Amino acid sequence: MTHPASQLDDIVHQRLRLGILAILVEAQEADFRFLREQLLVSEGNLSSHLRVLDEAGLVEIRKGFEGRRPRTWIRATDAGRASLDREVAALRELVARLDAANGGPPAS
Amino acid sequence: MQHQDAHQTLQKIDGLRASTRERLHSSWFPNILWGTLVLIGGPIADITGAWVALYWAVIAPLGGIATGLYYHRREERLGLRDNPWPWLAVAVALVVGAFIAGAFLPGDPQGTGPMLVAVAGVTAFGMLSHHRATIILGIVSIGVCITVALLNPPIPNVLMALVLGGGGVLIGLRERQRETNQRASR
Repeated sequence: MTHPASQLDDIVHQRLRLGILAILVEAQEADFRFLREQLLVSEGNLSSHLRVLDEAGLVEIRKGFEGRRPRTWIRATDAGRASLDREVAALRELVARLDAANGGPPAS
Repeated sequence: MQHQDAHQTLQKIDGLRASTRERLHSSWFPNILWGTLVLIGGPIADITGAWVALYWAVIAPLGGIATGLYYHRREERLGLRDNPWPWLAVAVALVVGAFIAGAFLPGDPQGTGPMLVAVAGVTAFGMLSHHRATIILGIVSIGVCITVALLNPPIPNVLMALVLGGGGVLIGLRERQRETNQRASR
């Protein structure tokens, strides 16, 4: 039996990328501005993390126009949704083990 | 990974998912609109009988278009889109089901058949949007419909409409207030 920490995916596990996927799995697609406002990050930072997720096939990025203004829509792929599910399952298992070892959840 | 970190990460993921769902499925407008239409439809059904079908034949498509426009505009403004097909499927099943129940249940003088279809639809919408108050309203309304069918009171449709329509309007007003408060605090 493998330790749950070994099931954490390096690409998905990064905090901001987890946040991006957490938002995208709840919707069909979200635009760049919405993600930036929800995650409170700079454009450059968000762009670089989206590129990593795009290259891994976890999100799809669609650039379009609204009138004359460019608008970028992002959606989670099936692989992206499955990755987040696996990540959350691994985290929950890890937390359950740590809770058991420490006699309960940490004081917040 | 530290114990505290793992907990915080999970909480953050759950929080982001919940707030995205909440923003995506804002339901104050459809709740107030359809709640009001149901409140008006109740007395019409009790006074005019079968003519209520005409009321719904005119009002339901208009209400559907208004609801669709509300969500479309909101999604474009917000930058967050939902998959419309499950919602459309429930809406079409609700309309078709209610008309079939109204047309082919002659032994249903209280008109509970179409109303049961409508409250089943409301429950389904509540489940799609993960909205607990709407699910509870749907389940309570199913109970009221069955009670009305068993007890046969003099104004069955007004009673059912008061619960379903009144409940919908109240949920809509509460949602509207909550959204206004959230916007003010941002």
